[in-house]
Amino acid sequence: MTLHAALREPRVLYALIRQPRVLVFIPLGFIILGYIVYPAALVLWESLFREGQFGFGNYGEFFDPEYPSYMEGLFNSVMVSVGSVLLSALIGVPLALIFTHYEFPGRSVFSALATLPIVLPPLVGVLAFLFLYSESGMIPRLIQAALGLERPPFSLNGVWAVLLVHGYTMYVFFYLFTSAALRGMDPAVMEAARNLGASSWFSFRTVTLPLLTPALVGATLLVFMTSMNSFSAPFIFAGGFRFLSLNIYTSKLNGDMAMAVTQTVVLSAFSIAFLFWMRRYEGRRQYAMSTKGTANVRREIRGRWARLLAGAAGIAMVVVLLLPHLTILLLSFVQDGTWTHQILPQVYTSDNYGRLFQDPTFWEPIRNSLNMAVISTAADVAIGVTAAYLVVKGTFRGRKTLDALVMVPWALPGTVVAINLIVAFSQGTPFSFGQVLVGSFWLLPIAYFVRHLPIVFRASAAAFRQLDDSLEEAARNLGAGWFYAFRRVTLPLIGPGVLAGTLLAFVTALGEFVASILLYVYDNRPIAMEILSHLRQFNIGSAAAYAVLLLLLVSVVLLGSNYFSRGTAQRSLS
Amino acid sequence: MKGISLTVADGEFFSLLGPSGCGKTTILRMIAGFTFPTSGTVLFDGQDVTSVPANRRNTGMVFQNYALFPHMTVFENVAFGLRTRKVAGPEMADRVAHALDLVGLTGLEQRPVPQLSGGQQQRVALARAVVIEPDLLLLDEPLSNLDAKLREETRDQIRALQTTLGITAIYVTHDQEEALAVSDRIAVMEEGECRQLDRPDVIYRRPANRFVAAFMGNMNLWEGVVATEGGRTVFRHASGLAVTLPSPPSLPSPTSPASAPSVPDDGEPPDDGEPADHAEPAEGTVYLALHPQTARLTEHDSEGTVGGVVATRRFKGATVEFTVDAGGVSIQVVESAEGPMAARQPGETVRVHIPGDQAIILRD
Repeated sequence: MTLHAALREPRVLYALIRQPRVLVFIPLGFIILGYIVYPAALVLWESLFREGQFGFGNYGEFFDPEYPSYMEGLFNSVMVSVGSVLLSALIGVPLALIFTHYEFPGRSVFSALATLPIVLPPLVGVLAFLFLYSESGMIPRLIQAALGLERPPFSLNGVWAVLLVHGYTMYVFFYLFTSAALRGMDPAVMEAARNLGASSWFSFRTVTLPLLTPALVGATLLVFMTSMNSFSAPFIFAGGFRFLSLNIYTSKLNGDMAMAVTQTVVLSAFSIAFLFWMRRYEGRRQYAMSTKGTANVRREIRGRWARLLAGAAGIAMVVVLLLPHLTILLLSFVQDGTWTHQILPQVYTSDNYGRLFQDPTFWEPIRNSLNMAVISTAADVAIGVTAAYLVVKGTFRGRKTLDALVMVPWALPGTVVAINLIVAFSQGTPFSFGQVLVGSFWLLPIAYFVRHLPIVFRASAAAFRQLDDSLEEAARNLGAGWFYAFRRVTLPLIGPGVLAGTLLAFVTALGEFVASILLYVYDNRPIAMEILSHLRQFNIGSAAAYAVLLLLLVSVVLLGSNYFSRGTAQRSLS
Repeated sequence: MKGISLTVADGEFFSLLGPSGCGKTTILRMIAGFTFPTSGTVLFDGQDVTSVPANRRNTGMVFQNYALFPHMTVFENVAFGLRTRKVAGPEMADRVAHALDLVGLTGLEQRPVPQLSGGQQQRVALARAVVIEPDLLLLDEPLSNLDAKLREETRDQIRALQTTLGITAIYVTHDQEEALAVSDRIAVMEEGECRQLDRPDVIYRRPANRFVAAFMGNMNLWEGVVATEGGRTVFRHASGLAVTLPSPPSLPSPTSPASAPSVPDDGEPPDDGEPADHAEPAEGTVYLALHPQTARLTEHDSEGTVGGVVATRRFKGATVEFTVDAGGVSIQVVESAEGPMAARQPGETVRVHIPGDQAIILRD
């Protein structure tokens, strides 16, 4: 067949029309292979070598009763994760039920505030808890002073502190999942149960709870995974306790890379298993929510005392939720080195902020974080949006694999991502064009890119899924070329969703701590590392001032993203 | 798709009718250029456009779900196809205004489309498709998302618009009433095959096979044999029911016109409204199709009648629909509500007159 004849054959021509998409696979594959698959595979490979000997020696040491610290770390991580799930469920589920089923003054404000812990970057939240509830924390000592006790009535440290921080930050998952499931539930189902003579407890147990199960399982898996991967809370509070994620960090600091990679593999195996377990439940959650949600009727709380009680409980909740944020704000005004044994700081100053405008080095960490967040997020958008388009709208084989590969970093703890990159790029590779990246500026932005790729990918995939294929066809039918259709129809419709994901990836990169602590160099030290270093020098005020600036940045960006995503919801055709 | 060849004449309103999954939308999407045939060609005015991209075909398509751009106003939606054609300024505004006037949406130009009702969205989709003066108007079940009353109104509006503009239209639907009401010609499809292609009245009166007969409405359809008894041709059902047919009976040949549809080049629909009278004698199993409104309830035990008991009675306003149980065979009869037999109730004994000259004998 001559070329000319081949071009007249519609199938050949069709394949050629689609050729540009094939070209997209090459850079996409290069990056996913180079920065996600290859580092993880190399870590797995290295974990099989012990002093040059191939075998399971490292795993033997991990499970060896002679070195109990490794198993202890695993055991503690699992136990704390179970505890975190229970505590988070205990806070999140009742909160969701109350806010969905009852109407009382201030309900909408409280329900909006209930997601507040999400804006706390990991290190900042932990610091707030340290100053609030630890041995020298303000709350225990205030109670001690008020009651005239000899010693603080309680103080948080070790496992309990980690648990509490997890409960505070992770109940939001249970709250959000349960609220969404309740909203998606047809109230008529519950009404039918009541109509058939079920008491409210009976209908909750036999109807509501089974319908909530997929959401609860989803939240359970997510909290368990997040908790297994948690680093900041153990890092600050663990004291003598061992945690798997923390063990990896200490092994690396001690130069024991063999055990660092071995523990990394163990933790990765846990995380990836949980990821796939969760994804199985995700489909069912959507199924449960697909029933048409009619307006949910909230029962109004009547009676003076009941309303007062509800109001008081609500205010107490807001105080507890806001206390960490307020603490950080308060501490940002403390003059460095003046708060030692007093219950509350004594000397306040605006110097910590004043230096913003005087000390040129003050801006450096902020500039570093902004730079790296911009670079990594730009790469996330380029790769994440392309991958999402291919996974959602593509028809090629291997779509599922691409989907899984892009989502895997979401399950991987920051520690794991960091160790993977250290192992992979401590020598020149084709993926880094022969450069050694360890010790350079670039390794940290790459870590941010890998860690936050799933955020952009998920948001974009959701946007593409909502995009009706016939819209692009309609544009083509009306004479629009591929690019014109993309620019005028596809882009404006997916834009808000992609933007929301992009902004989320951006703020998460701004506050990133876990990978940073393993990968930063002086030239790119991010805000979180600056906070930590001020803290180590007891410059509490300066540390808090950085934290406040970080919080402000995060809040502004999240508010903006909220605004954009609301715009989409209003515009979508029913 | 199995060996289909369709030719649509200029200015014709052509319908593709069939149950879901029969391939009618696939044909439409091939014409629009969204699907490529594995073999075969698409010709516009004799020119091969099989490999022309969708955006260069100048067809105006109305999608089943309208596919309006949700982020644009009514005006922007209608103007989209003009923008891609570099029509700008006053001419664009004039043509959009004219198109919106045609569908009766003047004054809603600046409305965001999500705020429109279903019927209005449908008309925006129509305006958007015709404003580009397409060579071909493609309609993919455009009425399926509208309620019954609006559907009839919009259906007539689409036909009127097509006539006024003189555009060739291809209309996909699964609703036989809709197809009968608007089409110049209809292709009835089943599983990727064209089972009959003809004018609506011919398809209705003389279905070419059992599938078309069953799909076109509640026809009586009985299986039996045809035999010659005492010089007369008689259809016999297993229950003993016999219908005397005019001699020779109208029996389409096994190679019915459906398998080889052809249209004269001048675009006039073929004139084969009358049954083929040259059919060979029927043998073996055949099917008798009879429109319920040609059967009559009667009191008298006369020639060509059969006795039975009224099983169900449905009052439909102008007509009354009866099912009569005639000893193992169920006969549907439609009587005028004003007729003398219209008041018969279930359980009463009646006789049914079956006019043999109205019966259609089908081979498959």
